[in-house]
Amino acid sequence: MDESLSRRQIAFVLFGAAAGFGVQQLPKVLAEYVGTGTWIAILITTTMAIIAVYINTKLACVHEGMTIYHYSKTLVGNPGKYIILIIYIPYYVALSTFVSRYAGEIIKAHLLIKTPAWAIVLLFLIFSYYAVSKKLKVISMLSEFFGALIFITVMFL
Amino acid sequence: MRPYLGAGNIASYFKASFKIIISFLGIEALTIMPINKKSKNNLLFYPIGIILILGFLYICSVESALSVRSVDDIVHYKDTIIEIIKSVDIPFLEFFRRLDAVIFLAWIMAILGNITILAYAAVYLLASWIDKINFKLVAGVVFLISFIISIIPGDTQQVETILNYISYVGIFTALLIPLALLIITEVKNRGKNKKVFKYKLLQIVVPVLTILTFTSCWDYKDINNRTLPLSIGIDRIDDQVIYSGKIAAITGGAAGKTSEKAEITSSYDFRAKGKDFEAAREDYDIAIAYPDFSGAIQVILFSKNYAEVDGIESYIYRVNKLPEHRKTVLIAVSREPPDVILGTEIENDISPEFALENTIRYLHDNGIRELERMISAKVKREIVEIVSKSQDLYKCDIFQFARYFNADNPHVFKKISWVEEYPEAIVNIEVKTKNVSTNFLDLEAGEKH
Repeated sequence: MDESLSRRQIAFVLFGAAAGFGVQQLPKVLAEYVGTGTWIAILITTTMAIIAVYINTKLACVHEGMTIYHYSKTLVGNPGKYIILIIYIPYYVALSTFVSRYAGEIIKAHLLIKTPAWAIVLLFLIFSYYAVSKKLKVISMLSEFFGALIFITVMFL
Repeated sequence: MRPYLGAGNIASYFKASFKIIISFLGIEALTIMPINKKSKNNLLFYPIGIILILGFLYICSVESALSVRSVDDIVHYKDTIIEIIKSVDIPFLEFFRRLDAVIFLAWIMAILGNITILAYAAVYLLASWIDKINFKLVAGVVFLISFIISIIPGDTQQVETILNYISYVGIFTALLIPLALLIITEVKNRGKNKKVFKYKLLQIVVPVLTILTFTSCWDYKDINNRTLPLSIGIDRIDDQVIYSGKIAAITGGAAGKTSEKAEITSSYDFRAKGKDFEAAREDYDIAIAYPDFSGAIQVILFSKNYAEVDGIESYIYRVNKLPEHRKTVLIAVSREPPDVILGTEIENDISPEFALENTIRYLHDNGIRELERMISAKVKREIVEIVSKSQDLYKCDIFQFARYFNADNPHVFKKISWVEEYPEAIVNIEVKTKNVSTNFLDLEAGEKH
């Protein structure tokens, strides 16, 4: 099955992957460091993110139809590929795990006070497992759906 | 005309930028998205556009949060946006009057998107690596491991710490590793022969090694040629500002001496004066043998008289702005003259600066205990009030103390009439409060700001 995505899908998957987590803490962290000049710090981080996106997109474009799993082997050989995989796999697992746990803690604190955090995390993970088992095309459609709803909500507010 | 950003502030803007990198993490998911020929045209415009929109949304969220609550208030809430949204109630919106429900819905969708895409990346890479095992089975194992790991941290604080560390790894996965791969791609594409490839590699390796190698720190000569004040006291006596304190005495150390007694910090006292702070400071500069290094100062002590007449605000700004001062230096105001406090002999032989630092830190760390004591007192007052009311006004044991009294003293209970005795009973109330979690409140916030 061809797992290549359209440009719009790539944009929405990127939005889905980056937006959401971390936004709830932004004002506190920024106010602590820079007081009221928060927008400058966000601008600097956005610039850094754009550089990272440029690099990652450029890599994907140069190595057409390939992912880091394939082109890392071409570029740095098998040992290099395994080192990269050893860094990336635990990183992705840890990030998704602790993002779900932190979100669970926030939901427990504000909405479901008596529900244990692990139950909320389990719900998140079951949902994610189902989506992941359907692979990238379905995830990209899900991201488009969520992305559109999030845009509408934020614009409405 | 002054520049928009002061030179001193630039570092804090960059520090803040690194601290919020976690808000953009997830962009490394691009590494697992294959792009076909059709999507390649003008592709850069889409992801970069999305990041710009995201940055704009973040700016809007933060600026609106700042406009609703002040900077001083915001620093105490770890989940500021949710906290603010929860406090907003617009009756005119009827069904949508509570905006927190709408925001929570959008936020949960965004979190689900985050988790799904990041988990897919992990499962995809692992399944590609061990390609003999079914994708769904790999996904199941990864999710099981995820769930087990997710329940390991004890509280929110630990999860936050772990996420902070992960965000540092994110700099490598989102930026540095792809950058290295891109450089190698470019080098391989352009350099057809080995010589060019080696030359390009040298261009990268030499500057990196130079930066890493040619860094240094102070040597002993620098320290010997500096005056190191340990504490500073500032007082006003009549129309004179007194600038006093202790300067570290650099000695060779007591080689071979062993004692169970703590070694006394060897120091000299100094005392300078002038008609204002600048004049007093000038007097001090003339008196000292070597240029002053303020990084070793532990305590700056103002007399109450100086704090009331001259104010200490300008000095606090000075400490904050001067790079050589420790940002954690303790600033205190004392009733007694500072030179009296700094000259005090401490029983266990530590210096007065350490004693002061220790005391203030203890009070800072134990602030929550004071809060617990206050809560206990308040709750006790309320319970005493309602119990007294039940005894004096209602003359009725609405709390059913009788059951417990009967259980503890069955013989006595049979002999007395509880209804008659209850209004006269002496009820002892003891309230103990223990704060088990500060949850999303940051009690130490504001130190950096």
